[in-house]
Amino acid sequence: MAREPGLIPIDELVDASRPIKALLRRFAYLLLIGAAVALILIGKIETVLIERVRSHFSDGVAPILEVLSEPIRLARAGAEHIADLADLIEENERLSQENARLLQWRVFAKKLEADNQALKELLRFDPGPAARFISARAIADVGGAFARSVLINVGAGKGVGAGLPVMTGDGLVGRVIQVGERSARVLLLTDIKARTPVIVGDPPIRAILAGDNGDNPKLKFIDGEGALEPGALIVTSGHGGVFPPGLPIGVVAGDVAGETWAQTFVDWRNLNYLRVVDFGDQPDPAALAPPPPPPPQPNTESRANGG
Amino acid sequence: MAVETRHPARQAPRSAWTRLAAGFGLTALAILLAAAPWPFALAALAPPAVAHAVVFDWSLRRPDALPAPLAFIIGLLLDVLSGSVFGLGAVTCLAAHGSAAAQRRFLSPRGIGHAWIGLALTAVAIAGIGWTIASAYSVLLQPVGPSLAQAALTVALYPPLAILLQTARLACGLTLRKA
Repeated sequence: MAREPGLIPIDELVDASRPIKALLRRFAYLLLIGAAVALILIGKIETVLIERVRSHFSDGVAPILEVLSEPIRLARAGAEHIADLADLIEENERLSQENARLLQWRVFAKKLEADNQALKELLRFDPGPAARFISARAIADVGGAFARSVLINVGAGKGVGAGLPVMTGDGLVGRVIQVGERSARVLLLTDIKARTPVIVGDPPIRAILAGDNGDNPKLKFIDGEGALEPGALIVTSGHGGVFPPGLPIGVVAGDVAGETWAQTFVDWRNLNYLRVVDFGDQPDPAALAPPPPPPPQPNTESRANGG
Repeated sequence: MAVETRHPARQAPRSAWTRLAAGFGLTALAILLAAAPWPFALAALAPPAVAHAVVFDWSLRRPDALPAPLAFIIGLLLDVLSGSVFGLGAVTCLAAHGSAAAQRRFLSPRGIGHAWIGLALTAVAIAGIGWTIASAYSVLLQPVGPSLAQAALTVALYPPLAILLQTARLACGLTLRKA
């Protein structure tokens, strides 16, 4: 059969593609590793694009992760329930004692509240808008060896915004760094990129709480010379405007190998229900502080008079 | 005339798409399950550890069900989910796949014990690769502890995962039962 001019038979095309396929197969790993390295570079340059891809993907898998995490939540709740039943009598005794102690504190707290109110009126103090809480559930714990973050099941649709602090009943967990419509990613205080300005103990000493991808963050850039007292309370200082001041974080655990370590109040193994807190616009304490006095000027006038 | 009877498991080979769907689907499901907030100390390290172990096992036992491009996509899934360095998961999953491919001739006819040793060596190599890339990316020496813990978790999780995957492959008709 005569071949039509300009047409190549399919057999010849298939034969021609074979060496290309063999070449691709041979160098598949190299090509794919090259593509992965290219993605690493793109991720370094185009962070906004990558974050957008991540938030869309997180939104997509959030319902699946929610379903998959439900049996674990139920099992955890069941185990806690059984453990509670086991030491019910001891717990009751402890709670009775604690209640008696708290009733004494209540009287004291009422007095402090009245004093505080009176002082606020005296200073015409504006407390600002009340904090808004958004309840959330951790649906994925997905950091890996080089990051510490959790995905939560609420996003922009429920009013979550980037930068908002996230807490448990025990203390500060971290802040929202990526927001989708139905999910958000929370960067934990223990992440190696997390740097939180804090105040430690009384008298207050300023420091930076730095994560290292472990369970216990370090305290760095400690203001002053003296060592921090183990057990001293660590709260956010509010400097830099990342977190509002006074959010509880943990206590000083002690010094090991020349580093000061913190023990957080939050149990990182039991991140379940969380609260995203919107405190509204908080002023930076550094901005509220009085400006430093001007440097002393040489008294030229007196010198001129005296000389 | 003798009637040829087929063992239920000795069915016709599954189509390429079925194999790929089984390989990708089971691996993705394992990663999503590992990403759930488990109340264990090393829970945050579970998704990459499970991904590396599962990709290694597929590459060793049924490379046609999880070829290198799918291992790359699994790595991307890990990257998007983790919030860590984008592309790092793709590199480490390809390393797991390639390592299993390189050892396949020796490990494939042998049992799970030999495969376990092969995986242990791979997990340590992956920890080194991951640590180097993450340190270079952030221009900061990353702590070595989490990388080694992730390698240890990969090794610890491999035997139960390999048994589960073998069971799943049998159920999907991707592995012939021993006569």
